[in-house]
Amino acid sequence: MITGILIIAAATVLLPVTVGALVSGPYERELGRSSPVFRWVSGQMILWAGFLLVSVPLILTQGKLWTLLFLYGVLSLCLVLAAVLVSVRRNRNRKLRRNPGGKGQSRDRTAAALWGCAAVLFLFQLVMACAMAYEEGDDAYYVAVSAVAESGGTMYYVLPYTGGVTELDLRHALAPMPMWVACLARVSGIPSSAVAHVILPVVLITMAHGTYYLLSRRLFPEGGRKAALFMLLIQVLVLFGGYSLYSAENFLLVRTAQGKAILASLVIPFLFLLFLTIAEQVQEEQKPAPAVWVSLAAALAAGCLCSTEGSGLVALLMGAAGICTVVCYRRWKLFIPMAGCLATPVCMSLLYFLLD
Amino acid sequence: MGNALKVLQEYMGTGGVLILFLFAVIYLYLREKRKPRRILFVYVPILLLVLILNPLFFRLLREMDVVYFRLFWLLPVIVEIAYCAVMICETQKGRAYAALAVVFVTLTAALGRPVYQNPLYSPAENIYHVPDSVVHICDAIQVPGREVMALFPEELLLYVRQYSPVVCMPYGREVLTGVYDALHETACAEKVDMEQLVPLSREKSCHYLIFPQKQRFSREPSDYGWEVFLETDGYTVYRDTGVELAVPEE
Repeated sequence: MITGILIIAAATVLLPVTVGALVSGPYERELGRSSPVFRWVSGQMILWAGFLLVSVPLILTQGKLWTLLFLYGVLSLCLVLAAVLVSVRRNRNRKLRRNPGGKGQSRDRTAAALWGCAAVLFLFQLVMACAMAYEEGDDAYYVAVSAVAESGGTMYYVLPYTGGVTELDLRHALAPMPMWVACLARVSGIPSSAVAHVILPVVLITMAHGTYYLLSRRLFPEGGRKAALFMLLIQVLVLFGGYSLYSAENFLLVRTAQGKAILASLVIPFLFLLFLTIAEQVQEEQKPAPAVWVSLAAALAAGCLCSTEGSGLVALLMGAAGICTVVCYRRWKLFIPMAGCLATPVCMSLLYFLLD
Repeated sequence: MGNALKVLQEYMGTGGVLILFLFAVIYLYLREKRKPRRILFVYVPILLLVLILNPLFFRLLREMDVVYFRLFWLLPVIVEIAYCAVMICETQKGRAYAALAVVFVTLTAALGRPVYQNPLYSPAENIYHVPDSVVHICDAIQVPGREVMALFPEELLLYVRQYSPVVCMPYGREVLTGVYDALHETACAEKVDMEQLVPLSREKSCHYLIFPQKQRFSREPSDYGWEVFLETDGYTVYRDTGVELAVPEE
């Protein structure tokens, strides 16, 4: 079990942090120091985007999970090698500018108390994710479909509720996040149910709050009590997000490893961060770096992996944020990279309508 | 707007968080001067709300079978509320700041509802987050190298195939959502009619049949070739000897 947990930790923390170096350059230059959190989240988005591109053709051609696992492994290895090369070149070419609002900043007592409270509430969520079970009907589909793939290698050709053979379940097959869960279960040797209900919630809840932390640093670069109070309020809003069964916060804590929850509480907040970054760079008369566009394209593709509807949702958000940014700054040329970033969601939507 | 508003009402539940969010949009519209933040916190939410609450857009997406409430995930609800609260607190200093911060934390908690208060939560019985009974029964009935067909009581249907993909069931979660299944109807009766159940379960090749220990039957199960295979966690597992279970040779 411990070996399995270490393997999952390597696949969901170490691997994304390494791959994230591909796109973290502009963010870290601005910050004045390296940002493992940004690397982690953006690296995971790139890996999910890659997973989508590898898995969908394989599922449509009735491939097996083992093939997917092999191809995803090769892709991950290539990304790691590219990231290492990029990191080496970057370190050789520059020294990081120290930001006064960065690590060395002394925190006042109020800020320390607020960070402490936020940390306690965050840890409480992790403990509850492990200690409490939720009677979630949709898990009977998503976890079972992962378990079937993990055990027999068949992807979306077995009825998860009963075990009977069926035709391709297209609605779910074009958003194969459960196959990512199955891959983690297969390589770690830990059953899909334990991966989806205990291990991934710990990883994904942390990653979601990591994204909120990145937003806090973007909104309050000076850090201090502003960022601390922001994070404390986020913790409270998430913990008290049970006002509706449908809220993104409720999905984060209740259905954590389901694609829909990842879309609502991780991918969409990360898109907000990228939109804000792009708008601030445009405001400062800068041209957004290619790495920002790559991150954006990867996050949009990750949205497609999460849910079939995710393609439309992220495209709609991109459209709204894109139109507002372009119109506010009258920078019409921004439409070109924005349209490029939308390639995956548009292709996935077209594929769905063509095959359905 | 009628129907889209209804979805918004359902999505926002008690409505307190919606009020906070709308307050934050208005506050930031009036006070936030930095353009990138106005775009994220004012223009994008307003544009999305106008679009999502538009009846034509609602009708179009409903025809495409879109689950409409998910569109509200695109609104930066909690980020905007938290950001607005911090900006308001920053207008004060010293004790007033602390008091305002406490007010906002209390308000956000009071207007929401604790996620863990949901009655569907229960202490996890094992690392798989499925009932122990499912683990014990599935472990007992599994046969290496092949699948087995087992009829489970309603309360265990959600969990069986999450734990073991080699245990198949004649019906699954769909019956809990109202899909009719004759075998399910017969097996869930207060007093199970064996004359009706046995042919139906054999038609579906059920090797094992699991019932609560207190389950009443019209006649003794042993009269129909059912042997008690296991008694565990308040359930009796019957093996129907009338359905062949060939074990593959190694």
